[in-house]
Amino acid sequence: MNSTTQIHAKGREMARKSRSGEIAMKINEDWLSVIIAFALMLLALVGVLTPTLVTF
Amino acid sequence: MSTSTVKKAPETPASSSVGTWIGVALVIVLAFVARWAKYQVYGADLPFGIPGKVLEYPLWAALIGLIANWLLKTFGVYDPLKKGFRTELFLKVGLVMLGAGISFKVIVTAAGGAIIQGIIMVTSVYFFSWWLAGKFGLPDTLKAVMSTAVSICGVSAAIAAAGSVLAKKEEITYVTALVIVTALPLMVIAPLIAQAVNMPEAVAGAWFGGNVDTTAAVVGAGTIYGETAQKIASIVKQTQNALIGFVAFGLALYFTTVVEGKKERPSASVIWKRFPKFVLGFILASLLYTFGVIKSGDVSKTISGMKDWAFCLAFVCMGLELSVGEFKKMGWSPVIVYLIVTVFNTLLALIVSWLIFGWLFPIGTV
Repeated sequence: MNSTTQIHAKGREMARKSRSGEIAMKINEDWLSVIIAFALMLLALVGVLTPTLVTF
Repeated sequence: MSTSTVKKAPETPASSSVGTWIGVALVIVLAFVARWAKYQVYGADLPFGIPGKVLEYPLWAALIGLIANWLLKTFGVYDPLKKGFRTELFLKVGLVMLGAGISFKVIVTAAGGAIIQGIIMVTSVYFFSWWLAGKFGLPDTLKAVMSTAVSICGVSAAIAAAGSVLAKKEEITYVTALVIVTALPLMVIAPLIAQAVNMPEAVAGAWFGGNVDTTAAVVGAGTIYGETAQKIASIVKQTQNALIGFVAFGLALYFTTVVEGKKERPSASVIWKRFPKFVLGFILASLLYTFGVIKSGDVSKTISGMKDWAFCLAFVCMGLELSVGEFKKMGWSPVIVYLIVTVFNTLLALIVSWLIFGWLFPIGTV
């Protein structure tokens, strides 16, 4: 089996595992919280989210 | 004798994912209930002159979480949903957004005092806890996890320490339960004491940040006491949290070389690996606010509202994640040690925070 075929086989295996949930992309919770917070703040900055919508 | 066994269907990724999302949806619904409860009693006059403000949303959210926790366990549906109970994630999202309302100058000023306070508190409480746990004959791994949890920041510190000393899983869940059981009442009692002695908000915030064990309860206590207290408490706690990496590295070094007698040393990369990266998000948000990218007005109000929602979700999860069953498994000696250390921690933090934030680095309203 040449290297290209090996790479393709490995790719198919990875795709299968990904679909079946055997592997999942993991983002560090700290970075995930930063991404979520900045995404929400961006929505506030461009006016998609307003005080009325999120009032506590 | 014949036995019948009921085979449980294996949990598939799809069913696990559905359970997680149902868990998240439940947390959101409970947060709405907490918000409703807050409006029902806010401003009410309570016995013994206790202001209705004490019944702020952190208390309701945690209480509603605890009730839901009991109901879910009673009806046997807790486990499929528990992945949706994400105290740490919601809390960190809220803390990053809290940064968007604090001037960087305040962070720098408060962080100066917080570093001094953090070093004094972490070293004193850590070594007192280690010594006392030794007197009660607790195993070294439990001593390490407990001492780190009580001296730095509860759950995440316990997990970091457990990784360094290869503690048992039950030791982590046990200490986690201890942290939440002591932090929940402290979250309400500490602001009451602060109010009884008319403590300035900045000092009170520094005290909550130094003595309440888990960041969620620190923010909760600060929220109950006032806006300045919430900000200072968060800065002090996050500064203390940043010390996790150094403690984790020191523990790994001690356990591999002294306890296990190995010659190889752990890598200093542990310090960065354990550093709470969301603190960088908090600082960046503060810089955006300081340089006027995030302006006062509607944008600030929106971010502040979202921050409160994120904290409320975190407090609901804190109630949902409590597991008292762990105490039966490991006995009551660690509970006694933990409670004594908590009293020591509370008194010491009171003296240190008053000296530092009332005298050395006085901060007014922010």
